[in-house]
Amino acid sequence: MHVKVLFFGMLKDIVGRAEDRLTVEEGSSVGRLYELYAARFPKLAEHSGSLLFSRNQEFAGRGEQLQDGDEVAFLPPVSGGADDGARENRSLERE
Amino acid sequence: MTGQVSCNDDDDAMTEEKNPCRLTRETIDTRALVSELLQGGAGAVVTFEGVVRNNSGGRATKFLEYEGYEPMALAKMREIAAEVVEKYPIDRIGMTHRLGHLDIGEASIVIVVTSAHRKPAFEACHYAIDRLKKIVPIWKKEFFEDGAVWVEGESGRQMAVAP
Repeated sequence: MHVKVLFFGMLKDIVGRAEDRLTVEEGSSVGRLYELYAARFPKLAEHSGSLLFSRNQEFAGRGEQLQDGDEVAFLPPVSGGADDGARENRSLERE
Repeated sequence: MTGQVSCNDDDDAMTEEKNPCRLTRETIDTRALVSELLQGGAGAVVTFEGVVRNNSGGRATKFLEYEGYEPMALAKMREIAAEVVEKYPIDRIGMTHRLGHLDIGEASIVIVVTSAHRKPAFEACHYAIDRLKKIVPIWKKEFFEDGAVWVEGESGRQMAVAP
């Protein structure tokens, strides 16, 4: 399966590119993509707890199955003002 | 409500024009957005502007750079507009987020809500900016005298830019 992977913010700095194209096995999940990149770029693992994913521009969990032609993005937590506490950040991760 | 807005549906196309959600790299013209949204039945206009502060984490800020996953950011902004219209008895909502280089005092986000009465307008505007901070994929990098940091999350945790 061919997928396009996008990186933003700090994650783009770590991986060194904004966009990548990858061939992965049938049945691979979003999490599998993460593992592949984390193996090549260990610094990604530092963000493991807060990193978010999207698949075709919808938030996706690591268990979500990929399909040929998918666009996956590795997203840092959304930046914002300091009006709300870190608790708000965790609610986004559950979405 | 599913909250999904299809770009091909006539009703939804009119909804998008009624409640414009935009990205720009230019200075946001707030008064123009207010003029665009204001209609005769509105008795209240509530405007929120998120502007660049001159300091963060004890350091003086030189400028910010905003980047976004643009198609997803627009989709999420439109979802938020649909949520607002469903939840609050308002007339219209418009939001413009700016990307790229921003100087101190410049607005990165402007949200305008019009309604017959002020209470729902205040509540809708507050809801909209809170939701935007949570689900819209836009990030900012703060530049200081001796470096730059990506700001992460609501808590404002700062991650030093990789060398």
